[in-house]
Amino acid sequence: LPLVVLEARAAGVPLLVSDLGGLAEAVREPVGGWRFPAGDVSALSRKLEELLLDPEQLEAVEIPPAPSAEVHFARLFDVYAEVLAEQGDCA
Amino acid sequence: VKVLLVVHGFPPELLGGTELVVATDAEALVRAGCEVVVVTGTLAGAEDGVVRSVRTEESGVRVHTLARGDMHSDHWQKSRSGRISAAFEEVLTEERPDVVHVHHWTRLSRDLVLTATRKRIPAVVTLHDHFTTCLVTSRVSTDGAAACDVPLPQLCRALTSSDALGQRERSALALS
Repeated sequence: LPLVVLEARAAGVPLLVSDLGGLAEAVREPVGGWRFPAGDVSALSRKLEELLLDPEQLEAVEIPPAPSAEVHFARLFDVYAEVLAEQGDCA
Repeated sequence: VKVLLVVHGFPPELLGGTELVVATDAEALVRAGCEVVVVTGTLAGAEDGVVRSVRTEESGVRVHTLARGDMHSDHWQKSRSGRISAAFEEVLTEERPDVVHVHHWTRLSRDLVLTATRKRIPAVVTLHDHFTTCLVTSRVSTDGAAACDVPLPQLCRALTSSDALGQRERSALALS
């Protein structure tokens, strides 16, 4: 997953990405931005033109918060606590 | 709590995303009061068998490196290594962690969770990529042009179309 995806999200900037690999998971239209079929230059061009002609779309898009190290680490501890609590059930 | 993190490579030798997540987690866990041990693979394969080495980072994280000489990541049937499993079990016996966290098992062996479980040590797995179902890890076509559309559990297109793999390997994969 390109870091620019996370950087854009952290900065509150919508994304226009191809539907390739992790990019497709990063943007769930219309949340976060828009996707175009990988390799489809015309589709990318059309969407860019549409956004240029109707920039209000950029303002309206909902940007989910960027994942943070703090949240990641808190979840990590939760998972460890969960498996340690279940240790007695470890076959 | 003593945490043992497993990853295919570790800084300074390897600096990819997964490796950096593990390095960052390791330091953060130490700061949070945990004892942290890392088991890592390496690109420096042992010529014969498995070579173990251990070092201690400034942070206090102990890093066990397992070098596997027979590693061939393009051969699915070699993703399990009995020698690595045995070496990993030795580390578990020595370190006695409370929890094992497997971040990646390429360059190591696919049965690390099973090995930990047999020693009654709970294991956590983070799936950083699609390696469990795709040897090129991304489920993106080999020319990079499209998402792989081969539905699981069918064989990976990259494998079935590769000239590098002979009929024998394909047959072995079909049976696995």
